[in-house]
Amino acid sequence: MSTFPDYYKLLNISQNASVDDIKTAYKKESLKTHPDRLANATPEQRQAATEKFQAVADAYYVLSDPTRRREYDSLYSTRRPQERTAQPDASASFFATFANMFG
Amino acid sequence: MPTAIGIDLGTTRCCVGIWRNDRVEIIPNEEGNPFTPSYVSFTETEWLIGDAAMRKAARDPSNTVFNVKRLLGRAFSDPGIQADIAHVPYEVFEKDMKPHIRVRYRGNTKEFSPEEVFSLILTKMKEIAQSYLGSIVTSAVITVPAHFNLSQRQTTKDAGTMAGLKVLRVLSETSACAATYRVDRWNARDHNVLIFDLGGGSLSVSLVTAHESGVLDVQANAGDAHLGGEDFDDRLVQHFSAEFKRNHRVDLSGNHRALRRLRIACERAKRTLSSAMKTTVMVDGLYEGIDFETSLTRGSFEDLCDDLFRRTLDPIDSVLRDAKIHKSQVDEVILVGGSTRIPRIGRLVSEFFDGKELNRSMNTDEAVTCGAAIQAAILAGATSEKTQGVLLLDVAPVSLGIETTGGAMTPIIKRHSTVPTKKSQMFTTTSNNQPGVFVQVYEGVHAKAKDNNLVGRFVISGLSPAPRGVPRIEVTFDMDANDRLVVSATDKGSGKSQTISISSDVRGLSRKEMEAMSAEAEGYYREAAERKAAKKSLEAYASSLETAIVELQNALGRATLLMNAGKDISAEVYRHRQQAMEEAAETAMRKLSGSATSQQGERSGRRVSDEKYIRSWQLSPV
Repeated sequence: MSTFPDYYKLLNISQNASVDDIKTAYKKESLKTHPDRLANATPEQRQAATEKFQAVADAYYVLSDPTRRREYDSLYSTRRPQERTAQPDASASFFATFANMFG
Repeated sequence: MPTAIGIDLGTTRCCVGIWRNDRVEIIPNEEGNPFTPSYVSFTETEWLIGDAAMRKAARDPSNTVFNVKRLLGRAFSDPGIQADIAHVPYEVFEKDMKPHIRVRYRGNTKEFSPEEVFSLILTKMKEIAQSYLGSIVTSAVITVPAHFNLSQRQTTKDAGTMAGLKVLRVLSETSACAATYRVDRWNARDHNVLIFDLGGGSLSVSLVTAHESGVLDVQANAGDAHLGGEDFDDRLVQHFSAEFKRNHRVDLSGNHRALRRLRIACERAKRTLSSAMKTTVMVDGLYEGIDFETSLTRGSFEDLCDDLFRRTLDPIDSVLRDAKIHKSQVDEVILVGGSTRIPRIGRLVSEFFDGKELNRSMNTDEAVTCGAAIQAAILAGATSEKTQGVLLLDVAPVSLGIETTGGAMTPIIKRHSTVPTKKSQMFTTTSNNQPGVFVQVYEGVHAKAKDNNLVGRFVISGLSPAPRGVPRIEVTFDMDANDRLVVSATDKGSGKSQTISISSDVRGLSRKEMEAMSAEAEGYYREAAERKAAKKSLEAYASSLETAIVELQNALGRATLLMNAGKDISAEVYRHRQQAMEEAAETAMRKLSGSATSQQGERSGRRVSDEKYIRSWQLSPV
């Protein structure tokens, strides 16, 4: 695992954001990145937005649940800032390993 | 902007609508009805769709096709399909492992797939919209039950494409209702909405969180593919057939015309009992001049269907469980679908929620069409203040994964994941020097892969020989908002990768393809083994050459030392040194030629074989 998805950065929130902050940020980012809201965009823009949305949805899944968030936070603190990334592609593989911890 | 319509493609009837001037208009058909029966009748001269076809059902039952939705995108071997076939008067047979329909049309026998029948109905709905709007309709959102899997959704999409429509989305019926709810009743706070949609053929239940921002977050779906108005009609038909048999010693089963007429009378009685407490079921000349007349009370109808009615609560239970929401946290319970007019159903749902008042403000029959039309407008890029900010975050209807060791299903995208979604997982081989991996993609919730629905398969061959558990194969599932799934697998060692796009037709591998792939993989395997052996041999030779050179250099060094030592050296000493050098050279040469013959490539004795061989290329989670 070389890169670590920074779910806080993806949702544009601070590490001590409240549950309501997380919810609001998720809805806000969804409206910006979900391809359904981009009917008049170019295919490339839609593709880029789709990738971003996929990571944003992962971020919400992880941070909206207290247990998952605690687990994520403990991993987060072991990573140096330069290892954390808001690039969407870091989420797909991290997520699978991470989500399996919860069965 | 293209003209985009919303179509509610129901088991028993269809409805079409369009978003215009900030509201949904439901489009009536040529007979002025907002609903068009999902019936197609084939005659000697033409095919009829809708009301005209339904009227033919009693006269020409074997050529009038209905309830096709229950056949869509399913395997012929499906036990549910078999029960459905027993209930319909037209011929259903197996072709390519799927149910097909055989009818007489224009004096010939014609075969249709369920999606072809659907494409006829969709064409009709498109024409209804075009003649009403006076313009060409290019695209549509089509609704399906929330529990429809990927294959069924793809098949629905294919039917739309065949009807000349660009299908913008195959949308869950309950999700469509959520969109209607959002546009109809803006509520500036977060709240949980349970949508209970009981139609003619199926039940769908969804839990959706409506957010003040306009975002609708679908939490969970559940449903029953075989529970709806048709099943209640069936009960009544069975009951009255038995009564007729008792009274007149006449068996109606097999007499499609009589059964059809009895069914129409039963359906009418069912509807009447939604408002009246008692009704009469009457069919003149039901069988050989014998009239049938009997009475039915609401109480006895409820008793006859009691188990079916109670079954409607099961999906509510599972939706709440999946969404991890207690029933007391549900803010609104919305009932839609014609069968929710049955008073007993409403009472059962209300009792389930401890006497909660149900929301019946939405038009029971049109809510789904409205939502489809709203979503169609949004996806086509319409700009309306009322749809501004409305976003439906829908979920994957089933789990998607691959088969791993022991036939297990390892889900990659879990059911109820918000789409679009992309997930990767690392896998490895299960045997030593496994030459490839066989990736089989399934959809479904069962723990055993074979109990789920196979949607695609492919092979990566030419893995470098390695002990089991060592190779790293990354499998990625990428699903877009249109339920289009792209599966790729990459062997991290060799960089070899394969990508497939899952479509409605399982890209099954024929035996020949299997053999070809096996042979190709065997070729790779042999090539890789030879390459490895050759390299090893070269390394060994180079290393022994190096040793020899070092030994010779040492001998040479000693000789040089002796030669430069001066005049006091005897001939004996020179001769002795030369002899030692000759011996060293000889040893070195012998070593070199010997090592060259001992290093032969280890050839694999594995025979090129067939499907069974490829099937052994299993994957296991890391």
